[in-house]
Amino acid sequence: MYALRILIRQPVRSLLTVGGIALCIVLMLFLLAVYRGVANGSVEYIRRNTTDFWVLQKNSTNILRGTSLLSLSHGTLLSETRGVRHASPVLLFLTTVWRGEEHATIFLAGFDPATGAGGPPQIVSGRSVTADDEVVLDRSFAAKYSIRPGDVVRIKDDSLRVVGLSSGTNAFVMQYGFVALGRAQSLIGFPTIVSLYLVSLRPGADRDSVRRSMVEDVPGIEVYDHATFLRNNVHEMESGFMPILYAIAAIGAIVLTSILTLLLTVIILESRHDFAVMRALGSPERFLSGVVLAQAFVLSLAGISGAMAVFPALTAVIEFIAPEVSAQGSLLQAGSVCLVVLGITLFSAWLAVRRLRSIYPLEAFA
Amino acid sequence: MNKPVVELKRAGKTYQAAGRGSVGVMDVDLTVGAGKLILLLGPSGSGKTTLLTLMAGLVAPSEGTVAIDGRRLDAMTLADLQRLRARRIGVVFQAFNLIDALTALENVALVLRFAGMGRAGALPAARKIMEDIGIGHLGAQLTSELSQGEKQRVAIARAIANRPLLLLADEPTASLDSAHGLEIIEILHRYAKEAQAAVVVSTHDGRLTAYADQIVRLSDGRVSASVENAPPR
Repeated sequence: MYALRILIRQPVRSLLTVGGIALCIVLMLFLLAVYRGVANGSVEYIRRNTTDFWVLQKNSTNILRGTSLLSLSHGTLLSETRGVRHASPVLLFLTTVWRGEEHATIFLAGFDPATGAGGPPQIVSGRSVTADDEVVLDRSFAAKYSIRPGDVVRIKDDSLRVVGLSSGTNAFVMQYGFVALGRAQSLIGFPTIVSLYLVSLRPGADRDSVRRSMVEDVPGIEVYDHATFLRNNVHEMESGFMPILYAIAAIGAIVLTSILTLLLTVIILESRHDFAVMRALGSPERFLSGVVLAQAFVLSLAGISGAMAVFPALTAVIEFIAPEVSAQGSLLQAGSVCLVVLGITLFSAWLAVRRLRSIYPLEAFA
Repeated sequence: MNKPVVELKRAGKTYQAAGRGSVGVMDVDLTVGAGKLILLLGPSGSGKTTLLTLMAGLVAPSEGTVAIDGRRLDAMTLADLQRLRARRIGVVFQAFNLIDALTALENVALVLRFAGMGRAGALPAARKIMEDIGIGHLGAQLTSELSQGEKQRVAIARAIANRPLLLLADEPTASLDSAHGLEIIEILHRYAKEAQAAVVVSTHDGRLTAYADQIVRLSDGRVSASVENAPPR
């Protein structure tokens, strides 16, 4: 009761503190949601292009932060390997898309429209590429630059009609676009170059033996099964992106700890005489610590409630302003953040409770 | 003499400040029996408050011993002392020292909680105590809304809530006019008799001597005189 009364006695200060705590929680929730969005978005293209093997140039492990160059003759050799049904070429490169005077960078994937392998994993508007002068763009990229199906964009000197928008193709720092393989090769200026092959096997083919044959018979390649290649790319994304998120989340946690500890300490110092009187009257130590702990939890729980209330709306606003930011929240994330905040609450209360030691009951007689 | 509640034997307290010792009290021999009200008289700085804090177990004597209800305080742990203060000792302060954030009733209930009573039982018990000393109507008021006299009555209700064996009052009438001051000393005197408690009151208000069983005069930290008195029954 005393704990609550003290907080209510300074409503503006308590509300500002709750607001600060809520903002820190929103920051942590948002970073986790962005991470999940980026983690999914970055590798969704790979995850959904399910195939038996991904074949890249020797020493290449991923497509997010690596270069792989293979020739069409590699494809011929792969197709001739016993047990292989298809070896579908994909050419990936960063290029600039122009729309009027506006331009933006896109990760362009050239694929074989006849097999669809390596193409857009999901079309959310329009259709996929069927002709050489067509392009499919990631939907968040299109939203950011106000591009709709039917519009014409330029890549280098070529005009391409946007025929569809895709999802699962937003990798946060870059978005995918899709054209026919021949157009991609023409745009890059090397008509016999590809980045990788998606290899599918004939029914009943022995995976290990096909894999061995490909490595032995086709020079200069790396062969990954789908799960390994997906894992490689997830690892690449996490190693480049996660440290930044951890650093920002840690700053949020430190700020939260500081805000909470500061307020609790100020309250203790302001209520110093009350605490001294309680000590003189025989208050057990756990009662005084309990007052501080109760205040810490009231503030934190109010902050958590506030954060949970504003988080969905805030995310929607951010996604509206920056469509390429894909935030995917989850109950697990929310629960994890709540646990972290409760841990911080305990830690802050412990830090503040240490101030109680310097309050002596004799002060009540002053 | 009745059973002694508090016994000081050659008790003294010296404070260390800036490397020099400053005497609070020294060589005090004092025994207060159950049902007795003792008045500590003396000017400011004579050691009255130091003597009260020694009896409350809030400071350890530099020399000699202090015992409450036959138990020496220097043999107790901090937790024992806390329990002793919560259950066996009541304190009335000169400046009342009520918790402003709480109502009068909650202030009284607070010490019942300190003594181990549950939340559900503390409020009704506190209400009963306040009614017994005629301030039941003040229960719902925040203490900041009370007059000086009302505050001191609430402070006394808080001090006697746990029926302490030893009630210590530090200048309890100093902030009150003479009429209210006499009311307060009457309440303390009545409590000593009814609860068979030892009540020790520090004051420099000479009008209160009529209510004392014993008057102890302090000067420069020493007992300069101690006389028996015959208070009204």
